[in-house]
Amino acid sequence: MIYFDAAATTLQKPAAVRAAVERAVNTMSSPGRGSYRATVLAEETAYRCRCAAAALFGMEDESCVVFTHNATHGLNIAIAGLVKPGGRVVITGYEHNAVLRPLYAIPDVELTVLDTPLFRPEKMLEEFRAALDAGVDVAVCSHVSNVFGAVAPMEEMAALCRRAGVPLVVDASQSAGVLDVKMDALQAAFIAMPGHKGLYGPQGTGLLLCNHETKPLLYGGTGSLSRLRQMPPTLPDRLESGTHNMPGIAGLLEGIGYVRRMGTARIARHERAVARTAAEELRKIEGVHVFYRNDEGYGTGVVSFIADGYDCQTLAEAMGRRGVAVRAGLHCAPLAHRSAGTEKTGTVRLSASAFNTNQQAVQFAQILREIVRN
Amino acid sequence: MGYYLLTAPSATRAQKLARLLMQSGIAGRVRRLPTALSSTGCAYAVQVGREHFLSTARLLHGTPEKPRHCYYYDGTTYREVLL
Repeated sequence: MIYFDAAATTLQKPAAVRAAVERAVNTMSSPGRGSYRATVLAEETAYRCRCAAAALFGMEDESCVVFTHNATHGLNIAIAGLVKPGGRVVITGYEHNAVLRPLYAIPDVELTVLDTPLFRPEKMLEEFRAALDAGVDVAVCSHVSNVFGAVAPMEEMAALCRRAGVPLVVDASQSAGVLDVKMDALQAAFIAMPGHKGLYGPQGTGLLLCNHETKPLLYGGTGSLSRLRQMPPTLPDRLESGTHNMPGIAGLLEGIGYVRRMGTARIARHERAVARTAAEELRKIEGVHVFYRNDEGYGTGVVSFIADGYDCQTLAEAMGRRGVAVRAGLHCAPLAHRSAGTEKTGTVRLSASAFNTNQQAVQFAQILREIVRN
Repeated sequence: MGYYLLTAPSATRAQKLARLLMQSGIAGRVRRLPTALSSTGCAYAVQVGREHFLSTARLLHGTPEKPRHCYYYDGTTYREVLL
């Protein structure tokens, strides 16, 4: 199989991740719930994972690294904690439903959506500045579009938020493990990310980096301060009720270790190179339209495309039958497709990980060429 | 024989405290706080040896990691002491 769906889940994981998951299933109990070896081992593993994440993402205090089930879970905590009914929120035109639906669920939220064309970060910044000047209470922005790989000028946007005193929530679903995501540089209120994409952890893992007060989304046992009727006041327990996903966390620890050893810059370079090869090959095929910009600061390892006369789902199915894994449709991001003008057609998306090769990108284009030729 | 227990509100906070001590060469063991010592229910502590008390107090003085309570165990009973 040629797997090009890393933007959904990185299927190929470092061997250490798989081994850690299996080891945890066999040896780890509930962290923070006892004194025997299996619970202490779980506790130590969870703590090491927090420390590794804190080091990778520029967090001074590892207690503010909160485990979530995925990025959606973290975004729900952040948004529900910051956005009040009737609140004014600015978002980019490339948000995923993980941002949109939690916002739609809050009554009377006044949304300002940046109307930026694809791969125009300088225009996005200009529109963002204007939105802040007009007055907003919260900003929620994805760092990288999951459909097009377009990179938002997050450092500059974060600086504008700091100046305006507007809390910023960063959806780092597509940037964590690939781009520089640093809390100490961004000083965002929250940064949410999945563990199963660029961090190479298992599904069911995620991180919420906290730099702002919030309220819990789930209430329950934490193994601490049990007589309190409320959730504990301190992180991470305040936001982590119920038993932890220890196999997931143990795997995530190894995934983060892999990213730290490789370095995000090297991973990004590799993924861009693969995507660039794919985009160049795809552009040679008549009737194929490619949405991609490969220079640093604009795009990542994601290439979206459409083919004249082909429904994108049908095309992805045909590729699937030939052993190529891609995702087609609206990618849970209808707004992004509206911004790019592909709302009616959707796109087929290729997304690379550190485990893909240029050769696979060439093969991918060859297979597509055969499909559209017949 | 005796030892000190530095309290922490959660397992993570206790581990953070133990790590901080470790960085200064002070060995601390994370453990559950005896029930009788916690008015709020389950809590955690870092156990340090008697010989490390002064250096621990010096290290944590004025830091956010300074525990709310410190108990000395003399082999039979716990008593709260000022850190």
